[in-house]
Amino acid sequence: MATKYGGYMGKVMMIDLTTGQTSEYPWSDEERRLFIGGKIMAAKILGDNLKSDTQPLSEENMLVITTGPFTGSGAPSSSRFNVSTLSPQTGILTSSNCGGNFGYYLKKAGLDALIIKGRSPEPVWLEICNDNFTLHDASDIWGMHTGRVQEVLEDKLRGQSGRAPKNGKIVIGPAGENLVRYASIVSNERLAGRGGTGAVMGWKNLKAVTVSGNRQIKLHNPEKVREINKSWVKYLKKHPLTGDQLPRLGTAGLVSTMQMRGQLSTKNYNYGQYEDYEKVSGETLAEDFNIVNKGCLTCPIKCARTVNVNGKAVKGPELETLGLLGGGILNNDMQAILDWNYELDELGMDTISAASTLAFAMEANEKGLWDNGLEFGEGDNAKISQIWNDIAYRRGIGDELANGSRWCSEKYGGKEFAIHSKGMELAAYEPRRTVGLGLGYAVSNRGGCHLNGGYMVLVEGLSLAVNQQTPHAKPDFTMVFQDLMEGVSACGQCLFTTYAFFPPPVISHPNSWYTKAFCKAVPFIGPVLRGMNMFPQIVCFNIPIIFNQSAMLHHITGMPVTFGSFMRMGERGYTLERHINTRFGVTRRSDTLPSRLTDVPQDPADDKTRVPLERMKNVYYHARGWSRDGIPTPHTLKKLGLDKLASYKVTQEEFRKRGAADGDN
Amino acid sequence: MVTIKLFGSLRLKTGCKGLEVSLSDVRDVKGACQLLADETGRSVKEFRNCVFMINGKPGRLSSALRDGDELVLLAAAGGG
Repeated sequence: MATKYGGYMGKVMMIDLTTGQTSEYPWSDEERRLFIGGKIMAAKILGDNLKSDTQPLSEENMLVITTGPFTGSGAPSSSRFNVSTLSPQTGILTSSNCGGNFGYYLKKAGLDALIIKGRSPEPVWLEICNDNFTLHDASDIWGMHTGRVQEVLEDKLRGQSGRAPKNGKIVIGPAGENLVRYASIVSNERLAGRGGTGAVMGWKNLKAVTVSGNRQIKLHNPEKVREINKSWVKYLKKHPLTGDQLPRLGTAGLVSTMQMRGQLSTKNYNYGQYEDYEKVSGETLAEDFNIVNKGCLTCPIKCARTVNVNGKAVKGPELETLGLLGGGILNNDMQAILDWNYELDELGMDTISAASTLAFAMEANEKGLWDNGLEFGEGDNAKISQIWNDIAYRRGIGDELANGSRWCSEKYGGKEFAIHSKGMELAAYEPRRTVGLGLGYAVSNRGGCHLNGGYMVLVEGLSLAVNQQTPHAKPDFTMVFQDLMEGVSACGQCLFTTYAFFPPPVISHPNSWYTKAFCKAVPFIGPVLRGMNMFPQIVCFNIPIIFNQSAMLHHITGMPVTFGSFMRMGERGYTLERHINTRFGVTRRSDTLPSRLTDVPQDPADDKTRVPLERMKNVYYHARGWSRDGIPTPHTLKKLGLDKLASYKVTQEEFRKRGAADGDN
Repeated sequence: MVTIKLFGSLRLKTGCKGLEVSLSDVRDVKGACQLLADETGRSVKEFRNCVFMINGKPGRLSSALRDGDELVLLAAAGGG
């Protein structure tokens, strides 16, 4: 279906693995305008096709791989692609964003998105080259690790000509094949890590997808795009976060700051500080282990690390992995974390969920709930490596750990310290010292995710020193940050570019009067944000330099976009996902954290060091225009243009019924 | 003695992980910044623009240091 907008290829293709047939999926310009791309576009497609009784591991479930209008446009950090599906880990929508180059090559093949449904009777891999879709027998590559299978596929594409076309690949490892609930999809060394997308691909008997092509990506106003791009890259390179901290230290640079702020998850979130943090910090990683910085296609930030594992240069760990496999299990051996990170990537599973489930098992063992032989501060690195393999191949205790901490806590007890929300394990930030992020974790559409949760920790201690314990204005900020990141993600851009939203002087002069005044003012400006959200037309302009996304979207696509309409677009996406999730039973009662984080103060002498969740939820739902039960109201759906979609139409009766089911909250 | 620890990109730029100094050399955070500047040959402003934590609690440029204190200098950070 051709499009009048730039930045799009105008085609969405669907393949049914049961029959092997391909067809074009209808996607109109009106849908492009409302749902842009990425995770919002994917949510719309899944919402149109999934029924309330659809099971994650079923032929009806779809893997929806989307790009955004920025993908391949040359905009900074814009090589992202998104994978969305009904998650086997949470039972609700999940979306997982990935760098690398697959998104770029998907567009070069002429596609904005690829939808995979059905289930192949035998293991296959899919080759896409422009309009040609070919399913190949994958019996010879089934079982391979993620690095090896990509090498073999490159050889296969090389074929008899001896020269492979430039291509992107996504693959799964043994974890995906064996339906580990938090198995990932891997592309180069990057992962669509969270939510178990790899298990859905494995269930469909799809080992890999390769894509190549020679289509041109047309932009609405290429000169203006180049002009903004130039100044944007310059700004990102000068910004203290995107131009200094992230390139020098990567995300690992947060460990020491989190330690100082009491936000470093330690011993399965019993504490917020780890005495041996320096040994597993970003500084130690940079000084003693990092070989070279790497970045995704078109990224000026280059946050990725390269480290040595068994004489091979491989991708280094991110902050979450360092935190959860360091202090999280009381391990101070950096080399062990590098090794495990590589092993988990090769097996194809999410390091966050794997590490957190392991920490849960250790604590359950310590408390006598589950005799599994796993102990904090184990020291036997080979034993932990064996556990990863046991999970990936579902052997022995690994078969249970493969189901995640929620499942394990339901079987063995210990729900109060199973650190997840909606079945997805939390990242390494201890929310009792960043209560805004605590709210974000709980209400996040895909479960315990820091980014989908709004990433309030950025202002609650990492970049700025806003009061970490006050709940005031946190729900409003959470909503704004969620919407902002939702929009940026839908465009196909890395969320790290949003950190440059705070002007450099505010970040680099933390002791200045203006930074201190801003931090002090934050708890009092909730109503201002709420007003801006109610009337986004007030912000009927673009904000140059610090927030180029809205102007860039306009010049790439030709759509009229302002900062206000960009935020409304993010809000539409966030509420759309929530609206779909209510179909699978999500209500206020689902927006939870384990009681350790809400009822037990991190500092026994300070009752404020816990997450005042219920109180913040009330304000958050109100700000979002959702009912007290956490259901988007008909009025809100109408405001966002979602009421026009027949498949989402909620009758007043249904709305009341959903609310009544949660009436005691 | 006072223990000074340096984190963030400034640590990588200066190659200085920290110092152990006697209280007579540094009476407050401001003095510690000057000492670090002298030791590393960098502008004192760079150190004064750090976040200060004294024994795990937020400090200020004018905060006094006592024997046995641990002063940590951090830069703003983001990502995750």
